[in-house]
Amino acid sequence: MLTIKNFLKSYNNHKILAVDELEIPEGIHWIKGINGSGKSTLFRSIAGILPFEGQIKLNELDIRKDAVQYRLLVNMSEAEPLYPDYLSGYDLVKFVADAKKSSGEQLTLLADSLGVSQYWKSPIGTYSSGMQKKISLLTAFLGNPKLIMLDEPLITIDDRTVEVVYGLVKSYHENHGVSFLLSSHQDFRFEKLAVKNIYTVQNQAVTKQ
Amino acid sequence: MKSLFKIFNLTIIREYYRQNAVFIFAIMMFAFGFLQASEHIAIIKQILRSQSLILLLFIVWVLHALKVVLFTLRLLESKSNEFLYHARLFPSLKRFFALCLLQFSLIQLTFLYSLAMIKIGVEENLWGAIVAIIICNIFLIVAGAVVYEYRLQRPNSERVTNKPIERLFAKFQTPAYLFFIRYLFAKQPVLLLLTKLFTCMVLIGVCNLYPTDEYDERLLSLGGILVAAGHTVFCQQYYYFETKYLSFTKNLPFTNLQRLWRYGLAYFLLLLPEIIVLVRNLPDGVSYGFILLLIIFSLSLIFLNHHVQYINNVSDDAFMQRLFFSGILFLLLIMFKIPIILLAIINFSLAIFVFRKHYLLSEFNT
Repeated sequence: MLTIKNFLKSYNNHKILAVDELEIPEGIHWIKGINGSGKSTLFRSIAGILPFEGQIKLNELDIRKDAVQYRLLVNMSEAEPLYPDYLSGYDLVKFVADAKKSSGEQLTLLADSLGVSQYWKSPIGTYSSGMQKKISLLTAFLGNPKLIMLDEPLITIDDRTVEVVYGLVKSYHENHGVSFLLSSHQDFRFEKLAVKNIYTVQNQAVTKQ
Repeated sequence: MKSLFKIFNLTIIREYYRQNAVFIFAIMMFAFGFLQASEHIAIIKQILRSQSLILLLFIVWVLHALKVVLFTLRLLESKSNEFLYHARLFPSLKRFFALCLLQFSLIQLTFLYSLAMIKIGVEENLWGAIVAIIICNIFLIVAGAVVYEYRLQRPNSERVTNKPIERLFAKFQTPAYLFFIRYLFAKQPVLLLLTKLFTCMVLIGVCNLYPTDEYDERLLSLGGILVAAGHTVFCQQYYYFETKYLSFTKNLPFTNLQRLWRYGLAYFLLLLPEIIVLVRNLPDGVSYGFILLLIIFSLSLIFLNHHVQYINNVSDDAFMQRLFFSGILFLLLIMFKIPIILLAIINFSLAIFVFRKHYLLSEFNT
């Protein structure tokens, strides 16, 4: 499904992460690593947010050559999202929904299940970090993705929302064949999910356990 | 007090000068690039002798101080700077002095100019004006410190963001091309006001100068260059805003055309005040068709300026040099009667080329 070749990410000539070759098959995968190991950098690179050297492909779609088609199929939720505080959550979510070609029905369903529709018309500046996180999680499930990356999806959200996120991951995987990359620096968080592979990000490399 | 001022310096003062380097450079270029020292001294003497002129100058200084205060309040309200509210734990007198020092450091642009005015005032024995300048500076420093103290004692960002224009905007869904314009209204209102005042005044000046001699449309074109140069601060702010808050948009499946269209539309909307000024002050003998070309030309310059921000590893100094020499180049091309529509087409083409080559490779370097 996801192929990474000759990947190198560095800042100011300082190597952050290097991957010679990595094939990640379909399924739910857990990306482990301590704080600062490069999990978010890997996710942001795969999402097309960060530039890098090398090649990333989803099936046969190249992140650079097929920029639009690739991005239609790869969604991401950031670990600590930062949005303009004067916009409403709805402004942002609707923008992403339109871009990802999500139906209005899907948007309403997701917003209701995550409890976002109760507050999304208010300015983001009035949200708690958990409320912002839910906006970010919602955007990751919009459209018809084939790969969803959730960076530290369970931090800052309440127990009810954790259960909703588990349910959405299961449902998207089982009913729509969506693959997931889930990151966490904690050891016990994804025990309820049928995790296929575990990858560890450490020493500037990604290894399969 | 040292540790308190040090943390203000690291979090607010450095950030202010980093973000406003272009703004300050543009002011310096405009103020000192076109006039000789003797002409500056003549202007200062004139201001010192006229009560209305000195009042006008104080209004400009107050606007600048307001810009600085709003910037600081914005940083104080950001979540990443919430730790600054611990400043309340310091003794009130020490805290107030640190806040005065903070404000003093931020208004250096006007303060240094006031020093030059005081020196000339002493030479000319204009003591009344000197006292007024000193009082104005003390007022700007103390007023700023009082506002910061008020905010430190009331750490409630919701109250601050509750503004009438923002409430009006909030009633409607905001399309993506308005995200940045709303950012300017919400976060940079004084910068927006000052920039628009500057560019509109330039156009009014150019339009009024036109009938006084045998000028041709090249004079208006030079005005178009100055308008575009004035928008450089917006281009930098747009890039900063986008990389800080909207980096996720690089993950969205937009075509290049959709992205370019959104930037173009945002800048076109930002140019609406200039379009109105041009139409209302159109000199006799200049057609509306030329005004249209002029707007397209200015838009193309701003569009190009926006997209060169995506080129990595260009220092502020190098960027300023390139901006300056590009301005000179365009000035010469206009003087040699190269049609501005041709220049606009080249600018748009270059902007698209730079976008395609650098947009997805760009990274924000702090």
